[in-house]
Amino acid sequence: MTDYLEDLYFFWQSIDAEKFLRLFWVFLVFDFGRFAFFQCALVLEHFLGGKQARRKRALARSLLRKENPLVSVIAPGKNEGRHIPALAESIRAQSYRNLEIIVVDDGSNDDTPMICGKLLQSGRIDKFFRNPIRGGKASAANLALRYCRGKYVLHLDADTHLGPLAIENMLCPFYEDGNIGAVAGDVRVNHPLRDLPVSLQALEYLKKISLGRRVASFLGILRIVSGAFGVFRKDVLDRIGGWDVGPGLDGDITVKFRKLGYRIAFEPAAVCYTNVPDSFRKLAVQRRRWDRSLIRFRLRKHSDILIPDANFKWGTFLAFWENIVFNLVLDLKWWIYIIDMGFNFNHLARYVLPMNYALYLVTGSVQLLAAVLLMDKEGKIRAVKLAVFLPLMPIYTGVFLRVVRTYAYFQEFFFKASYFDPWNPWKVSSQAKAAGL
Amino acid sequence: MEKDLQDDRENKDPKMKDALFISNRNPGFSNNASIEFYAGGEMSGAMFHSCHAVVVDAADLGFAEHVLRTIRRDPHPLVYLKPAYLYSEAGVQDDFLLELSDGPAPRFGEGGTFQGPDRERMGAIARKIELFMQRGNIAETVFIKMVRYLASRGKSLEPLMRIRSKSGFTFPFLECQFPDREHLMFETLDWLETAGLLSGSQVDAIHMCGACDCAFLNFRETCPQCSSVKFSSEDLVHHFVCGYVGPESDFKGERGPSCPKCRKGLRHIGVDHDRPSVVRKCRNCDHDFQEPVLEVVCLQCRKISRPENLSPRAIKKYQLTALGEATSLSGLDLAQGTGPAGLIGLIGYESFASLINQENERKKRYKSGQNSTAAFLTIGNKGEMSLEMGRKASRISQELAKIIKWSLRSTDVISYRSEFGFMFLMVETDPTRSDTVLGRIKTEIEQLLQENIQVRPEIAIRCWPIDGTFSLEQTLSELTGP
Repeated sequence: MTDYLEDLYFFWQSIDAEKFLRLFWVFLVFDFGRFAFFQCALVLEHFLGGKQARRKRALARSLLRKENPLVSVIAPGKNEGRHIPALAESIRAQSYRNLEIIVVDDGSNDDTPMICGKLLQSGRIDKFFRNPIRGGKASAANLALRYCRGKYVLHLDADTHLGPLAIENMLCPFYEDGNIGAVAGDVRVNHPLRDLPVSLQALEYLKKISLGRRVASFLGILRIVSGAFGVFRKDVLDRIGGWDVGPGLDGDITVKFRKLGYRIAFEPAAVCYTNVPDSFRKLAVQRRRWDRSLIRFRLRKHSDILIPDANFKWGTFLAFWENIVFNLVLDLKWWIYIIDMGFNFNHLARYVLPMNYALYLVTGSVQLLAAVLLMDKEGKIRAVKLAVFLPLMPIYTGVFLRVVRTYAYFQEFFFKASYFDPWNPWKVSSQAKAAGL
Repeated sequence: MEKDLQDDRENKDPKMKDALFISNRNPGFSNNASIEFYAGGEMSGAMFHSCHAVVVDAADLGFAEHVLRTIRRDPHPLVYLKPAYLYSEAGVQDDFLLELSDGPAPRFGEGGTFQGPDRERMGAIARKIELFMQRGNIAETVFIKMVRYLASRGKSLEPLMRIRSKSGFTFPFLECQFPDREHLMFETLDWLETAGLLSGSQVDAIHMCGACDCAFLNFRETCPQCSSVKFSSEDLVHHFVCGYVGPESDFKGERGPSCPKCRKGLRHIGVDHDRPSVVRKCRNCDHDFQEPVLEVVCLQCRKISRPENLSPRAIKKYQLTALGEATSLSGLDLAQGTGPAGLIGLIGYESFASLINQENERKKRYKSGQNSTAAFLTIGNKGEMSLEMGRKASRISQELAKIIKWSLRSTDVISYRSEFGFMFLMVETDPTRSDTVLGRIKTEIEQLLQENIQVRPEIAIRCWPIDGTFSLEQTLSELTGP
């Protein structure tokens, strides 16, 4: 072991800049650039969000309170009854009060109807619709949308609960910028230290959502309003006819908003806590579904965004490219890198792999440090507690998620696997497939 | 059996007729040796004593019901247990009257008397009545009347569906005992079943208004928001290809149904769309909902309630138990000796009589020392109170026993018989010294009964010294009178 460490040290000492670039080109050219850009943007966003931003927020808040619009909170889902009482409780505990809660049961076969029926009777939810035959998430959300009366529609996953100021903070961006069509909230993992897969996802959410979407929103290229926690203008939702058949319907609807010219904002002060898969197997299934939607929606359904025409918008174009490049292209480049290393530097693998690990660990640590510095108190505590899992993150994101993602892209690209995902009933998927949606 | 009746008529009381025919019209046939006719006028219990059976002219059903109710409500077993038959040329279809009577008397109009099975049945009832009469004076509470009626008829007590009854069901014999107080009918049955005198088996279930016990209820669907009954229903339609879901009216197009979101025409249900559920819209408040709220309106008191707030009741048919059969002969203490009263320290009559005799013998042998006292607490209007108490009877009896127990010393002995009331043996206590404590017991009991029921109790307490000459049997016969 000591010999190996000595060898590694000498290798590190002996390597020159040209060789370093040759051996770690993926990190240096792509990931470090992205990381550096990200960190700069984050610092810029933080400093720009000073006194002026606070004044703007105060004005928006007073406008919001003056208008006090009705907000429809919709929670579609299947077999989610056990989560609904806590969700209703956290909504009723909100600082913003003018709310209607609509729950849609999409063909549950557990005690969801009974639980929701009782909540409806006791007035803890305002409307409850049940379709005994499952129609899929989009149809459930659209059913709720059909009977919403609010000016804004807050879409929640049933297994989430909200921080007490979440809805009020979520609505403020609409009063800061009239062109905002939808606002994404910060989604954090519930019980982040419960077990290993959950903790790793909690770290990932911290990096990709709490910080990543904050930067994307600042740059105007936010491409997704999470289905777990997003608020939309009702008039725009009506205009586009609500949600299309998924999976990945949250990303899809965000694109549709952007196509109409509306801005999408991220609100870091609006926090919701959601449950995530608690095993790697379940996580892989979930991620395959999410990743397939990149091919299905970005490259197929909304490929027109990439073509300059009368409706061309730079923000939407860049958001698309960011998504395609950093997910699809950079995923492919990793496999090229591995092949390159395998063929040309096979004998150096014992030095290159640990070096790569160290580089990604350092960048991950810096990102976590940014979270500790820039997030709210709960976020800081969360980041510190999760720091212990940092050494596993290069393996989690660099190996596990990458393998899952590549497999999902392959399945979708060649076999259109998303249409066969049981997440949607076949009667729906078959029609969407036939229509090329 | 026919011979028994003949004996009754000829040997025991030659004036006894086979039947008393009661009518409010001219029946078209005349007296014969065995039938007495009675038409019109006030009826009294005594007029039924001189016949083996009553035949009621059922040409006028209202009149027949009045007569039968009068008979069954009478406190005397010779009257309320009297076999009563219905006479009608056209036949009687009224279930209530048939149940309240002993059935039709079809051959009666031919001028004959009771024959065959009718006569045998009459004989059986007469023998039962005779047995009851031989048992001495037993308080004819509604409980005793019920068990005696069933014992004399040898049949089960079956509920009768009846629209004139608030609960939709009635037990005709019991209904006669509680005119206009139907709830007491069920309470009495519950008590009899709890005491083990009847055994019930459920035959139906009803839901009654929580306020007035009426089972005539209107169930209606209402809007959960404003309780209006005016709402419309529409099928929801789910268009598969675009995920749009809305009421059927959203899909109305100029050239047939089409999706409001993607403008595609709907083709075939199950292929490109389905109807997953129904949605309702209130025409009063515009509220959209799927499940209307079920409200129940009582057609009697008009109270509106939720189904879960209705009072459920099992409708049972009842059989007389062996204990009930025995109680029909002995009175209620047989049942109560093993019931709640027994648990709080009262002793049975046989033990009480034995202790009294023992004390009497002791005083006869050892003349010195104070006399003991035998005290008797009787309630004069027990029958009336029993009707009032209904299901509370058992609980009130327990309270009475507690008052007495707490007021007396631990060495005193208490017993109870329904026909006499409470009996005390107060050891080494002269009657003159027992006045205070007995007066207090009387006051507290009066207070308890007045608080629980509306009838003023007629309570009397009498004491006798146990001085070696005391006779319990003689005293009890004095107390109950001729």
